[in-house]
Formats: sequence, C-alpha cells, structure tokens
Amino acid sequence: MDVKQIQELIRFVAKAGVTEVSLEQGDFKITIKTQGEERAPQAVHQVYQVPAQAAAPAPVAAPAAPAAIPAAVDNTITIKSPMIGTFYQKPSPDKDPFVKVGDKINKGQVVCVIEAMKLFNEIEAEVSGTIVKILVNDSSPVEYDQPLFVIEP
Amino acid sequence: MDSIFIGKNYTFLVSTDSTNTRLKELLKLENVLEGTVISAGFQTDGRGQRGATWESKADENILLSILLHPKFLSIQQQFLLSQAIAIAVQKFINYYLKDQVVKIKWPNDIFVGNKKIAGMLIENILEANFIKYSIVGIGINIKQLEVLPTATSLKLESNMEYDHKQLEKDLFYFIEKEYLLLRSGAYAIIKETYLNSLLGFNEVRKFYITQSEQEMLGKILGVLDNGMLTIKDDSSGIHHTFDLKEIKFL
Repeated sequence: MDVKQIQELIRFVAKAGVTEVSLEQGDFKITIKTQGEERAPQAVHQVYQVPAQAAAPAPVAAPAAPAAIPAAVDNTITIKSPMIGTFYQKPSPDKDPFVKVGDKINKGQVVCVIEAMKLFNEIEAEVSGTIVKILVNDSSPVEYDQPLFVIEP
Repeated sequence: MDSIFIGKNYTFLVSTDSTNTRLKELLKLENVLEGTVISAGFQTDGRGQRGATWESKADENILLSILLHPKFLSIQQQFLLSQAIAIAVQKFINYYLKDQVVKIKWPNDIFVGNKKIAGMLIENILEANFIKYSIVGIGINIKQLEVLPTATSLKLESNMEYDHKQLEKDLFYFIEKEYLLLRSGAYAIIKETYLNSLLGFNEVRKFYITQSEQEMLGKILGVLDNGMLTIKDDSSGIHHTFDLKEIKFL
C-alpha cells in the first residue's frame, strides 16, 4: 500500500463517519481511528496508526496526514555483516549458492559465509522469509554492518 | 597424555566427503557435545583454503574435525582461536620432531623447515556477537612419502612408524591444553607464544606483494588482533600491514 492509497483510505474513513477501520494485507496492517471516539485507545499491535483528521461529514482533504506517514512503507528486514571479511555466496566455488533471490528461507538457515584470515563464518538468517535482494557480489570484501541481504518476512 | 573432553566422543569414518561437513550435518540433527571428533581415513572433498583441496591417500594422514563451543569469544576475537589451535599443532609436531625447526606459517599452517606438514580450516557458527560453535578441521601428513616438493610428513622427517590412535590422542591433549588456556582468558600468553613460533618473526626475509607485484625484503614485527601481519620494509623502514591475499612468503 502506498502513501496515496493511505490518503484515500483516510478520506474514505472521514466521509463514512465510522470511528475505526482496520485493514490487513499480507504483513501490512493499518488502523485508522477518528478523534471523535470516546474510548481509550486500545493497545493493538500494528505497523502504523494513522489518525484521521476529522470526523466531519464535509469532504476533508486530510492535509497534514501524509507528512505523518513514514516515507518508507517497507516491512523488509536487512541482514548485515557482523564482521569485516570476504563475502561468499557458495559453500565452495563448485557448489550452488546458499540462497538465491526469490528463495524462501527459514530462521537459522545459512545464507552466506564471511571469511577472514582463513576462519569461515556461517551467517544465519534471523527471521524466516523470502530473499528479495542480494546486495553484495560473491567473493567481494564486506565491512562491518554492511547490508548483505534484504528479506521480506 | 590424556585429554579430558576432546576426543571422548569419537567417530572414525573409513572414507567421507569432509569431516567438517560431517560435523556440521551432525550439528543440524542433534545437540553435539563439546570435544566431539569425527576422524577419517580418507576425504573425497577435503578442503584447505577456499577451493584448495587437501591432497591425501587413504590412511596416510590425520584428517579430523573437532567441535568446540567457544562462546566466550566475540566474533572480533576469533583469530585467537586460530592462534591457539596453530600453537597446539605446532607443539604436537615439535613433540614428535624434537630436533627439527617446527614453525607456524602465518596465519595457521605448520611448517617443518620450509615445508608444510599440517594445515587447518576453522568454520564458525555465530550467534549474535559470539561464536556458538567452531568446527576445527585439521590435516596432518603422517605417513605420506609422495608429497609435493613444498610439503613433508612425519615419516619423511623422522623415518619412524607411528600409531594413528596414539598420535590422535596426543594431538587432542595438545589442543585441549591450548584451548583451556584460551578459555581462561590468557590472551596475552597466546599472542606471545604464537609470535615466538611464527616463521620469519623478527628475521629479514623475502616477500611478494600482490598489489604492487613486487618483491620486498622485510621483517615480521607482529600480528594484529584481527590477524593481519605487520612487516617492516627492510630498505625503507616503513611498517606495512597485510591481509591474507596481499602477501606471499618467498
């Protein structure tokens, strides 16, 4: 869902006169509450809470709302290098890579090896998900904290 | 000489792909005790440094992997483990070849004179900022008589016969001793012992610099915590620091 769709949703909620709308699409959740509501806000676990600007029946453009929305509506997770070394995508040069873009991976699965001084470190995925991007080329040097993979949980 | 925990849980395979791979596979299936050893008579996919295979014939060498749990080491301290194991293997070889010059060739090969007798490959499995498991793969040439001109074996050096099981037992003792020293936090002792066992330490010798494609006469002054080698250029007096692929010993 992009910013424009969220704006539209806010307008829709404002027009409809409802107090609260929750929407879920895959891993993306949004809850919009109007200020007219008397109840104390519930502790709902959600990614974003966008307050609708007004409950008035008149068409409201919700002018301030977009600014309140974080720019990146992004739920991906980045695996970073825990050390300086050389990044290897394969267990050995003649083998298949540990993971490819589009692969479903499980938490704890080895995604790459980082070598420094003949010590080979297996890097495990901290979450389950799908590999969206591989940010480093095989056999290239990596810095501490350098992003290696983008995963969509 | 007996070890307390290394080699107490021991498996010998007549032939396997690689003992490191076997140990890693075992780790996926069950909880493996620290000190567990998988040894092989022959490896079809034994590995030296990335891509380089470890040449061996059946039952001529020690080919084994030891599982350690060095949780006390952070990722940044892992070179200490490599140093401790290299010291142990150097001491083990020196125990059998008392009259020869046995040294560690940076970072962790073992040399008798200018010939390689042993090597290792350490694989770590990380957890947060620490080393959860280390699979220490060691290869030592024992009976091999046909070796490369740059290699040697215990038998070639001594002309003696060795009992494989006894050699392994002694090796476990030496490794355990250094590992326990490491676990006790005696890092300064390990670094000092390593440096004093290092081939070319404080001696002028010839190196090849990969980047400039030039030879250099220099003296090894030390090794940084991350394992990088510091060499003083003999002609200019300038200190240089080298990573593994940036320099060769000539």
